[in-house]
Amino acid sequence: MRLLDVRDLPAPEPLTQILSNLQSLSAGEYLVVYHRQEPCALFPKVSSIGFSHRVVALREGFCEILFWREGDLVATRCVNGHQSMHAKDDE
Amino acid sequence: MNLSGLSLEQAPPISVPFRYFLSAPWIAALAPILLLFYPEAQSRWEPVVLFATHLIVVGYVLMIMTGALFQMVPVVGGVSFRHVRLLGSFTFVALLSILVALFLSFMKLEENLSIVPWSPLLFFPFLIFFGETLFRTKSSYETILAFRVSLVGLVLFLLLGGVLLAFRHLPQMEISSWWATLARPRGTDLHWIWALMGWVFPIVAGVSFQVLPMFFVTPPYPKLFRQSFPILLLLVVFMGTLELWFFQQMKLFHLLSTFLVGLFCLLSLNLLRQRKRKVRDLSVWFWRLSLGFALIALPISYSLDWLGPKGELLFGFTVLFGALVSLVSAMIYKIVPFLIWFHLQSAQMQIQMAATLNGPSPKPLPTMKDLISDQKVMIHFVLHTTGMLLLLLGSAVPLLKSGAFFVLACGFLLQGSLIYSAYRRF
Repeated sequence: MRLLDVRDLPAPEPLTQILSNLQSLSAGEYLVVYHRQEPCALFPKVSSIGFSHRVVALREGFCEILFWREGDLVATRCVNGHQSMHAKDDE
Repeated sequence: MNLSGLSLEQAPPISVPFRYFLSAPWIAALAPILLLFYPEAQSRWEPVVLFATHLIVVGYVLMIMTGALFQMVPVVGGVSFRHVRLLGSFTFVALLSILVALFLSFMKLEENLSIVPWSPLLFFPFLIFFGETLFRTKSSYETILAFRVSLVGLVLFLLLGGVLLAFRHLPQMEISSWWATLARPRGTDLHWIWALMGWVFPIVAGVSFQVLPMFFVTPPYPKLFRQSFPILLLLVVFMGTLELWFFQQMKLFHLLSTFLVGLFCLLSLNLLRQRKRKVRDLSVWFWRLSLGFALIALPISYSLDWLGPKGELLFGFTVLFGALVSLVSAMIYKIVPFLIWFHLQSAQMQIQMAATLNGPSPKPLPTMKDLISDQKVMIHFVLHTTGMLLLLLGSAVPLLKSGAFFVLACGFLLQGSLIYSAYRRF
């Protein structure tokens, strides 16, 4: 797992940082991103380059998203077992 | 947010918003140039002042906001405009046609132009598709709520504009008919309060809810404020309409709108003060300038009886050039480089995907500051601020007004060339 916090970065830095981290993601690894909002414009971009995503926590001023390579079974298993430290805040 | 309808393919081509962004500053430059040649204009009712006002409001503010909506609604709402290429082209020609109609009405003073009052209807296809897009979105963002409110304001602003043009050009608009209640000055007051408080302010608020945290890393506007502010604006404008209609005055409207404008400006200034990265950013300077002029316009609005026609002009210039042009500039200097960068980045990703692993690596992308440099925006900021100071002082020393209009025109021309240079990088 790799953690990236882009909450304090102005646009378009969150986008560039996330894409750059995705490109260097190794097999079996997944990326956890802390963002201040749901990055809607990013999702079509990452899926077009072969990555899946899942929003696991979303509340005012905070969004936690997981990214992993499509077809990477190890990473998919890790993502399914991922415990968000922030998910409870959504309840 | 529902993203089911959103994909890169469905996002509008960059040419759709950019034809608006590329044209608007050149059109706006005509306003101060025109006023430069009519130094004797001393009242808001003079045709040249009316036309200059519409050059800014329709040719600059509406032009840029329409371009921005083509881009923002799909991103914020998750749904795209239908027939976006055709609609983009038609609406652009429609806006230019409306400006020509206004020129014929105000500057040529031809009375037999019965087609002119219908010109605002040319914008209605855009409004219908805009409304349909807003109806389809499932987004719960408050920006969408603000856009919906602004749609109501825009419809009424344009319809009232058409009625006012009808009084100028249609002889059958008899003074004895019920339409006469919409003749000026009451009709004009309704026209501008719907423009300013019913359309411009809600859309500015809605865009600010998104743009301030996104580009300046400020805390978000309070949720209750985001949820209630657009509705409050709509209620206050409706209340103002009734007050004007039944009591021939706008005292309560004036008081409540002062409160709302003051609240928004102070809250926005406070959020900008709390931004997390306090680096020099000219866009923030324009933003503060705009909010500052909006606050300055408030006491001027209470002194109109004392200041007379010159005071009305001063109020108009403060709102138009001081608050609106500064605010649109603040947004445009972020949105234009961001959009170009975004499209360049998408294009580069496609090239990377198509290339083999051993292929040449693509050229590094320009940064947003490479596309429009801070130094050049600084020149525009200095020109714009100087122009506004000369304009304010021009109320006392009329000679300074010519200098003000010259400097403001230079600012618009510079802005037009900066947007064009940035677009050429695409």
